[in-house]
Amino acid sequence: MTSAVGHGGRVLLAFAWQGARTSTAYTTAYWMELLNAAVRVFAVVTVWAVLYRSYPQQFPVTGGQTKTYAAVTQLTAVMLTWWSGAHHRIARQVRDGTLYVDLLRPVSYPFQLLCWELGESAARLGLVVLPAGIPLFVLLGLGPPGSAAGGLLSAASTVLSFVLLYECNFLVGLVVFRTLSLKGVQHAYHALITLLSGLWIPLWLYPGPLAAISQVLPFRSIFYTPAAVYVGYLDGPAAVRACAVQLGWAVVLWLGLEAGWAGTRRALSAQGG
Amino acid sequence: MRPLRGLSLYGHYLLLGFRSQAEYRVDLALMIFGVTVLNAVDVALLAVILTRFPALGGWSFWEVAFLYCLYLAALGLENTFLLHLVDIDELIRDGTLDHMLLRPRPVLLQMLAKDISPRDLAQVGLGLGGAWYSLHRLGLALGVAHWALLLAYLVAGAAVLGGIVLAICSVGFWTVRSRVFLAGTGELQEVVQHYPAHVFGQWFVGLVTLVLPFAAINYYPAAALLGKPTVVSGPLLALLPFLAAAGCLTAGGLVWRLGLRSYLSTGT
Repeated sequence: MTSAVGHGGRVLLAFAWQGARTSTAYTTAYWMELLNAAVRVFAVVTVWAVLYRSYPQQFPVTGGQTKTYAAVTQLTAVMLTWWSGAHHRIARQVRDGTLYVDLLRPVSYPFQLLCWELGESAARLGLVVLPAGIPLFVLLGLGPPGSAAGGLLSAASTVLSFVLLYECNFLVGLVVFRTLSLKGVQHAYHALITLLSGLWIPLWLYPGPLAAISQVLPFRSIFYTPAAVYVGYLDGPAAVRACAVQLGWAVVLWLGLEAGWAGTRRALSAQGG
Repeated sequence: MRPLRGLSLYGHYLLLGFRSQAEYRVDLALMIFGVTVLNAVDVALLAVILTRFPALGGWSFWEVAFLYCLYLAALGLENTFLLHLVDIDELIRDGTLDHMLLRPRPVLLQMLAKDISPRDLAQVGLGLGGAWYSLHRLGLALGVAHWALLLAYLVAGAAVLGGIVLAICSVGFWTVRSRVFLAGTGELQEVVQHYPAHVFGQWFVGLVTLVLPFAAINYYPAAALLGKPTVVSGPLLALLPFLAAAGCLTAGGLVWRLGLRSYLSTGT
């Protein structure tokens, strides 16, 4: 058992290392990513600061919490690169036929992709999110977590966000095995995340019907939950409950992913010469 | 080559490109659906913000929607006709530029006439439709002259964008990779498309007016048409998008010519 866990850990590290190397292969691209991350955080934080200054009575939280929420969600988005995750990799591999290389490995395909994505996200955390985020937090006067417990819970919640997003991306990617293209599906999926995850607007500002829809879907757990816990809007039992909901979605989606992949794998046939 | 002959050849190439893309009807329909959904969600998010808060930097929701739609239409127009400018570095890397140089037609013409993007034409339609609806909701009935000015601003905006893209991508003659520099302006463009530039401070307005004049695509035209105050006013405000377009096209053309003159081929 110990050796199996050790083997799994080594496999994870190897793929993670590959993912990290890929995401840092081009130096100029790296600097541009850093620049884009800084511009994005600055812009979104400034918009919310302006709105708070003009209409403070409309917010259930302080100006500092509002700005910090905006920065945390944007930096999390940069780290997770939700718009180009596993679904894009699956689509590329199906299109150019390189999927079989991954299938030949003695490690399950979903686990390989998970490790790959983990490596890329870890690399972006260290090389983009922290170098861009720390100076921005200081310059824009953004705050630390609401409490030490909130900080820890938010970190755990971010890990669950990563897993949840990976699962959603993988499930969307499975569609490519039927359609051979992500077109259309990808846009609809990205639209759902943009609208219902709390990435751009804190969900506490959403009008009733839209907030109700977001309650019954997993997308709010991706960006809203870790940021709301970080700033202390969700704290104590409410924060624990939100993280439990995240965990529940992660389990349900993993079961869906395994079932979906098993069905796809059975129907899969590779041809070539 | 005579300009008229070049223009007719360009039109002929574009028609061929359009026909070939229109063959894939489902793909085309899915792409148009995708563009529509994503832009609808963008506007919905602006609506969520600006129905809760009456204005952002003095601009109401429908004014911001107009700003957004102007950029969308100009971007669509630029992408429709000038999309392949972003391929410059790839053409240099894979040696295709050498083939183009051997043909008795201008390289830029060959590159731009590769094909036309119906998806981006849909973006122009969405942008114009959204702009018309925003004006309607604002209770502004533009006359023919104002609509002509709006369309002229659209062309100027596409020219601004095209000039910037040409200048940045032509850097590929020296650096081999250039698309990545364009990607570096991605978030800046998003910001200018979504929000009035003055919200981010005077230094930002200066940046997107004098250095990378993305504000000339939508911010100044919208301000001129809606009568919103900006750092410039009067005739200069009305003319600024055209001046920016002339400046960007000149700069882009200069960098392109310099690059082409110094091009030594890949040597393969």
